[in-house]
Amino acid sequence: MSQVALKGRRRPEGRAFPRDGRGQALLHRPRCLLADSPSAGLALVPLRPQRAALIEKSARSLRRRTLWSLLNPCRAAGLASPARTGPRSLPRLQPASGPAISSWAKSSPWPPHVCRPRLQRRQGRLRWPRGARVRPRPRERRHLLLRLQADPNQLIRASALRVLSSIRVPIIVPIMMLAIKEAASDMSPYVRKTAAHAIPKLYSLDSDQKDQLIEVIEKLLADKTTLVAGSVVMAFEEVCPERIDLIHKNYRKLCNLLIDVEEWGQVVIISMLTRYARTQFLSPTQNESLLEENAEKAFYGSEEDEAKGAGSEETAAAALPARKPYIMDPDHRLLLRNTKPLLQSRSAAVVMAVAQLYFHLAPKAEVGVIAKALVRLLRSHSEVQYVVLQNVATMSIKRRGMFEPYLKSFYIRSTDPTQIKILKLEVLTNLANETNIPTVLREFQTYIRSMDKDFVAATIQAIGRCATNIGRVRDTCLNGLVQLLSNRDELVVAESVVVIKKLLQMQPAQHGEIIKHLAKLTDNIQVPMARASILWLIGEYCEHVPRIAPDVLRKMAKSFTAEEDIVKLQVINLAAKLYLTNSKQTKLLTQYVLSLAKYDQNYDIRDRARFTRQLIVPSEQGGALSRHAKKLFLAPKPAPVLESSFKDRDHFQLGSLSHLLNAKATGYQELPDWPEEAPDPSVRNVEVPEWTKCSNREKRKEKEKPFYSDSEGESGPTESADSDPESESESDSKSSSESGSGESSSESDNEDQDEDEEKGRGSESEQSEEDGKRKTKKKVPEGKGEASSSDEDSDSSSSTSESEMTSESEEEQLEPASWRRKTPPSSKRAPATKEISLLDLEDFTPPSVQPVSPPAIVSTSLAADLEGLTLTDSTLVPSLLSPVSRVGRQELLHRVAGEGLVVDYTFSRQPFSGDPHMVSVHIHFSNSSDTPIKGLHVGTPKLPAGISIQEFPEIESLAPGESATAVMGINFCDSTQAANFQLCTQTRQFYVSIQPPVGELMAPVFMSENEFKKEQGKLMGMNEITEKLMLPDTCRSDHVVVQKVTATANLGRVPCGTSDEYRFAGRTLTSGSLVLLTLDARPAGAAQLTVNSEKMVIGTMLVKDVIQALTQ
Amino acid sequence: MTGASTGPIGVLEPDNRASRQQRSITGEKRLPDAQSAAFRRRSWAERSRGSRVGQSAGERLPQRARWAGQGLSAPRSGGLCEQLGRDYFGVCSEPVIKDNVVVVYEVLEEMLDNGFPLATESNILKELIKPPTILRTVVNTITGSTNVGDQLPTGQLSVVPWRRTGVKYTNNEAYFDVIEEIDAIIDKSGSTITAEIQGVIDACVKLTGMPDLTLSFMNPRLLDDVSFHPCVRFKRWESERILSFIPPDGNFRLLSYHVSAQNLVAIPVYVKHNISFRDSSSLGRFEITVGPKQTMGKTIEGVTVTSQMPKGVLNMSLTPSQGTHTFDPVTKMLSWDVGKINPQKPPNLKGTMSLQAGASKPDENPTINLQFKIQQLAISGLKVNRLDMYGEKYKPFKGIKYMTKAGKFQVRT
Repeated sequence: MSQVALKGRRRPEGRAFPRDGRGQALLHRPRCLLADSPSAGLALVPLRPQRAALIEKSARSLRRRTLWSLLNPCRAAGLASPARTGPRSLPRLQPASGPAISSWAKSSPWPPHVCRPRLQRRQGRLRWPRGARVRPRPRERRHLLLRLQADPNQLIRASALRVLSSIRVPIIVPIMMLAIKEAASDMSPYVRKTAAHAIPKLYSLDSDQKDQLIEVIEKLLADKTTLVAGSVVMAFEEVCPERIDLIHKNYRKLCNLLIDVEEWGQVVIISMLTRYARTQFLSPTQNESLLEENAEKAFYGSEEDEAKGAGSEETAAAALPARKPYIMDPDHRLLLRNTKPLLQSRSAAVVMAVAQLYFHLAPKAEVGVIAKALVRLLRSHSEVQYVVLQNVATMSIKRRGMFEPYLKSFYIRSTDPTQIKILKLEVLTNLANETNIPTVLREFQTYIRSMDKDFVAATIQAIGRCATNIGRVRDTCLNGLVQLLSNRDELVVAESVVVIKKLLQMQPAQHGEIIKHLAKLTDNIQVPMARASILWLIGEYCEHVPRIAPDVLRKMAKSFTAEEDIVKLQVINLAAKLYLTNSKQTKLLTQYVLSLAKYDQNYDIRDRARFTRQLIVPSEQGGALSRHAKKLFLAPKPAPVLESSFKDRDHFQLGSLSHLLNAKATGYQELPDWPEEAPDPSVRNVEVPEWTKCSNREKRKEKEKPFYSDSEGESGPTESADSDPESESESDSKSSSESGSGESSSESDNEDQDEDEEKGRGSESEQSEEDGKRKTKKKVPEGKGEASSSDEDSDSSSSTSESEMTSESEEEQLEPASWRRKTPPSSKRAPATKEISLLDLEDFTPPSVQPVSPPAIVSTSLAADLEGLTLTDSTLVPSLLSPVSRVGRQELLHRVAGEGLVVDYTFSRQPFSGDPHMVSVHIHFSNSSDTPIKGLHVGTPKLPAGISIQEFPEIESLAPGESATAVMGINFCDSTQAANFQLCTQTRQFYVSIQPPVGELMAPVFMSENEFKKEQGKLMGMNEITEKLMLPDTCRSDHVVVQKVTATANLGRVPCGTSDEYRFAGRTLTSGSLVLLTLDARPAGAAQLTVNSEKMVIGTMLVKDVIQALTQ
Repeated sequence: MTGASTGPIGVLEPDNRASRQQRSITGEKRLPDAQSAAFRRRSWAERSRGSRVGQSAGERLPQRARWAGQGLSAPRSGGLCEQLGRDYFGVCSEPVIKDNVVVVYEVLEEMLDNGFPLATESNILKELIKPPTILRTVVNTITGSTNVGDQLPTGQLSVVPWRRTGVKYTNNEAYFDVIEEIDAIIDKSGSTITAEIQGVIDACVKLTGMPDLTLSFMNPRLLDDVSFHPCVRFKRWESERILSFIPPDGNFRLLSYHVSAQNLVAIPVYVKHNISFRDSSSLGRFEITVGPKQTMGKTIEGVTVTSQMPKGVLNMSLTPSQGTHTFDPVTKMLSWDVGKINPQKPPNLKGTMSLQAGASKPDENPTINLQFKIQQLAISGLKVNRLDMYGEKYKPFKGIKYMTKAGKFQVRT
């Protein structure tokens, strides 16, 4: 190895093979005896059968460029010679042939490993002839590699392909092509992955092979193992990103596999799918106003929200018949749903990829979910932070609301690197609005005192931007900036001047004082930009400062020659403007300045002087222009718009290098605009393999109804969709029989895992069996084709009918949920087209090329598809993630009663960290008086028996206008008795009381349907309270009901088999007794509410509250 | 599917644990290599994920640099390459890379193909290229074998690519460290501007076979935002708030989480400061006191106070009531190693600063950065309820440790 290194150092990079006239690579060594002729009399040194190692080594030595990149830093760092590390790792060749090799090494640019002659396999051992100084000709090496491609060990097959594909010699392109094709249909997914990696290499070597390579890519895209998916999509992106049609058939499979693909693959796939979705689906934001209604709930984003969100969008759309309703394509939804869990990935790259996908593809209401994950990434290293912040900055311009709750996460620490600080500042500025501007400005104020002057300058700019964006604070900002003018640091002052200039331009009339103040500064400020700004301001508003302006010009004329160019230009400008308004005082000064400028070194200044003179000083010819000079110079000028530098960056795909650089990088794939009309969605439908259907069709038909509803809630099918065999085998037989697709996938999973030869053989038979199946399956469409003409063929007609049936049931399955069924315009068209494509021969791509096809190209990908479609396992989540109490802020202490102290409280529904039995209550204090309130704490409470309070830490001081929040825990002892206590300040005591709504006395519990039923059975009779009610029209949809119930009571939703029943469960906080709530909604709005609880009082009150909430 | 053990986790006292660790070190003394426990301990805490953000595959940085450069060039950031370096050699430094250039090269070869990442999971790489050990080096030199493995790691093809098969230990143990870091900005008056808790659960799992672990929390709803090791079953977490996973072998980060700023974060320390520069004289006053606040009865250890003083400060003459302090007049960095805080006698650092004569007083005040550690406490109140193991028969030794640290903890003055 180190010899390789040594050689690598000697050989200059990029030097090609020495060539003869015909372009053949010449060999340095004289041709020697062929190693496998025994007559050569060479001793055969037995070697340990480590062929993989051997080949890997020769592989490596061939790709020395990588080594080079590694060695260069070593050399730069003064590494004397890597040979030092040699003996340890270069044992194999040394014993017999040492001297020969070393002499060889001196003369040849090739390391000895490469020239290893043929390896021989005798009696199961690999042998290595001793006189191995021979370097085989490329042909021989090729043969060697090709032969190794048939090796039983998959690692060796893969390595051989890696080596072969890394030889950058054009003449072996056909051989590489052959090898790739062969490997693409290898049994081992690892080898197939390597084949996928080899594709871009070959493409970069010879781009003429594109068509053939696309064939291979197409074949590999159909592969359903997670190992291959990432690599082949990477190859796709490198070779033929424009062939989006190749993705259609694999789209659903890729979506479903995504979560199991390794992280690098996920990134590539997600970015490809983003592009794909942009070409294939309609823009979800086209009916923005409709979606805004859903903004709130989708912010607490959960899968159910998403699944149902479409439904409510639809109802909203129905309410406005004038508009064309937007219905999200189920495949679009599938993508969003399957990428969402990846926001929880540990890899920052994956999170970023999902974030950009959501930003580009999700409806406005759902984009919010990515904010949390992006904020989490801010904890990473500064490199990651930098990239994330850049993207956040772009996003925050478009979707400000998304990051507003995380405003404080962007506060700047003095230890942040400057570029991070500036990006954070950018984000803070983007997020500032009417409500949070006071906090933001206060934060900015501390930044101004930072030691990092670049950062201070950026802060001042940011203040300027806030001032322009938010009119309310403009004066405050301006005053603050004027104060900064007396700062000792010149840079700060200069920056302030520049910003003040921009601000003043908006409303100059009121600010004569500031302009005067600025005029005085000209003596001190040296920063050219600032001086220029002041001069421009004085010139522009010379009417407001008629006495000072000429004096400033006088001073400037005096120092004209010593000024910077930019200042000189402004002096000329000032002179011209003054001449026009006040020629009596300034005529001579102006002429003086102009004549100084006439002889300036800078031609810009000379030009300007000449031009100005012609304009303002009327000449004999009586120039037409000079009459209008005043209009020209003193025209009202529009105020500048201070805007973010990230304003129009979003035309680059977020998360891309191009976005980071704000310039198009080589290889950047433009993110296409949404199409006007959605392309045919049926192209993504995949042929149903008959054998899966046949075996399961009967069963499935029976089970169809419960199947859907079950999968909505229960974890059985969910887990099987994880394609995790562990959980699959764990999940009860019911679920596995339900989802026949799950079975088939696990079967073929096993096939792929058995990579050892013995097992491989075992599976071969299985595979051939499967092949047979596939053949019959292939016949089906043919049969259909003929069926129209020849009905007498009983075989084909039977298969036809069968296939029709399958396609029907398949369609039913493809309609994933009820909301889809309600979409008349699109679904009417869809079935027809679907049917055609399902049975269309053209669309079906038979695996004709490969002799041994990789297992289950069509069938398993479909299996995966079906898994994905049954994956509506979402009902659990929303109740979990939307803990918003219906009871909003309630008043604890009124402003008048509290003498300026206002106290509100909310039930946060978060567990109280100190004591699980306590209800956590957030108490918001704000001081509306004009004196600070000190020493806020809870006085000795007088509490009813059982109720206890965990006080909040004392708030030392609350300045006027400030507000603070504290958390206290109250154990209400499962009663709705009010907790009375005193709220003390240093001077006063207030008696206050908090009475909890009954719904807040409990915490959600998660249980399965069966558990629920079991527990419910225990709580019958006395413990059951039933009430009938009529649901108003407004709250008949699932979502509304669930939302209303969970808002009223802090309960968790329990999955439920039937669609019209809702179940919720919780435990009371103190005693932990169960509270089970069932709502049975019947048609036409009648409903029955049942509460089962040991605590009858709680039960009764809960029923009352829930009914009130539902019927309101 | 038998629960091999279902008892709640015993909290492992630190001294107990240390002794175990000691034992394992002496047990493996002959192999002071990357495999040894000493190394594992060290890397365990330091481990953090490397990552690549920002470039989609199609865009071209210079081919090779596209990925490899990210890790190697990022100093101290714990990039993937650096982390692997630590995994293989214990430390990742220039001399180590020089000494092991062959192994480094081999590993890089396995990780990258034509500039694209191939295998980056450390468990798999270690099977493909065995980490160098003295014993192995000796054997290799004598027998002429290499570190290169000759079989495809089984994990690569299975659905649990992070775990290899055939793991065997005589002592089966699973340790979990719940480490929470408080990120806070405290303003001049001592009130909290922003505070949040970032926690991680680092695990060291050495279990035989294919164990299936389940970890549940007393109060999982505390966790506001989580990210998982790929081994964690996401669906199970979503529905039951239980961590169910087949662990990788050895050290890994199971979970990192975030406790939102809405939950009021208890700040365990207070800092009182009085730093003033006077316009007239060239002396400034400086005084800091650090004391405990809301520590739930635990001691605060390892307290270090650092502060970047303004440029105008020439020197400082300070006297600490405890600990040692240094001031570097070149970088103007003051650091005060306090140690443990005694609640009765809060440590204090007091003295004068000498300022540049003639220069005007600096108009900025230094910010104070604080480091501290509290053992046996997770400040968010997160508690692990129980750890169950399925799929294997033996009874593992389980331990859980809590720790709270200061993350980016700043006090503005």
